[in-house]
Amino acid sequence: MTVGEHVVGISEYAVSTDPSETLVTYSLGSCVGLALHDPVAGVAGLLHAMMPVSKSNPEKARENPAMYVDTGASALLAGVFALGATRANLVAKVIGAASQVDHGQMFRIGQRNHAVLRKVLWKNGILIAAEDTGGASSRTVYLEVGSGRTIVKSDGQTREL
Amino acid sequence: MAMNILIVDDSDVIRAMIARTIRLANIELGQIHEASNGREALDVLAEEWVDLVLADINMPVMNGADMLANMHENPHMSDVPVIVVSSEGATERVQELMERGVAAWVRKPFTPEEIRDVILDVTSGWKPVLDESELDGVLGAVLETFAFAFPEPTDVAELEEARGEIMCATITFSGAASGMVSIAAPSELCVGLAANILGIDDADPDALVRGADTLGEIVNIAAGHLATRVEPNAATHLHPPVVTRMEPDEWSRTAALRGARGYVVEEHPVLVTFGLRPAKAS
Repeated sequence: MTVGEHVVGISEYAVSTDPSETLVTYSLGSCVGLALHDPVAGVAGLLHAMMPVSKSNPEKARENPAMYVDTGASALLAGVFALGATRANLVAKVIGAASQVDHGQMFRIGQRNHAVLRKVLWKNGILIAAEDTGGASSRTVYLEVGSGRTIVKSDGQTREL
Repeated sequence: MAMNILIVDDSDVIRAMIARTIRLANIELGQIHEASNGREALDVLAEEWVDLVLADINMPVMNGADMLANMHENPHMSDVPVIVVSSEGATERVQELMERGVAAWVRKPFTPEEIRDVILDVTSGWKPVLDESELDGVLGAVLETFAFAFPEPTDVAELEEARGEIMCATITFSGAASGMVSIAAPSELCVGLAANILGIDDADPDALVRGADTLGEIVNIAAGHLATRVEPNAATHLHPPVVTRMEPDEWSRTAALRGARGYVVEEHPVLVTFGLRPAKAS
């Protein structure tokens, strides 16, 4: 980790108003990442959620909302709104949700994570500005709090989203 | 310039979803109109200024293909861009309609983001043809020269609501330039302007009719000037102006529209809206 990097672990989310900070999450496979940025309020947030819906284990979802996409995305939205972000200015980017079919139990988790995230955003009146999802690769996301620049690394390649 | 968009689909769900998407997308929006079949859509197009149509193909009463054919034959509507949003995707049908000038084709089911992207794509090359403030100059010249009155541009938010009966004159024009101009003003002002021009007094039994005719003529001359500013070298056909009575709540709705401009003329509020079909980038 370099100075100014704030690592968001699996089943975690983070929000920030520190323009020198970069939120980073590693190894998004079938997990889905949501990067939010409000350029006007100077607020950013990043989620790394593992499973689609919390109803499979509401107890766990209460303890750790970021484990599930539905509760995690809602928590992240509440977090950025609490710091002054507004719906109209939010730029939402979606990353991950790969289909790792080689792991039997992971089958279609990526697609389900993606669908649930789209649903939460649509219900909240937010259209997705850009996404890098699907495929079979693991992804790492860097979200610069100051600029909102979102960098995705996978398969040794780096691109801006 | 704020865009007025017409959504044509027999499904309430689809219309509501597209409308929600349009409101959420980064589109400078005027009004959203809805129609549940091609016939209703043609009625809306005949009455309202529409910049963009999103239409289904398979609908009862009149389907989308017949609607497009009708639009094509009507000079009021022939240049309104249409995006087809349909479950239909047979190559022959798509090709046939694309040849008839359909701007884009979106296949159902679609994501909200796809709808947003196709609208932004279709409208991205549009350039504003006239600065909205040019209207001030045109209206000023027309009123001063023709009606001996001076419009003072006023922020719509600060414009007081019209009292008493309100008249609204609307004109559309097509040809080298396509557009519409609509002027709403209290009847008292219209009669006053008629008195300025014709020398009649308020007791004239035909005062109201004269007032309506005067407003119609003002909108007619203003439209002619706007069209000439857009296309100085080519002819534009002005359709006859239509003068109607405007309800007070319609005044407030119109004032709330993006792009509505306010004026004070002889101490009366005047509300002007205008649409010009944005020139497509060549």
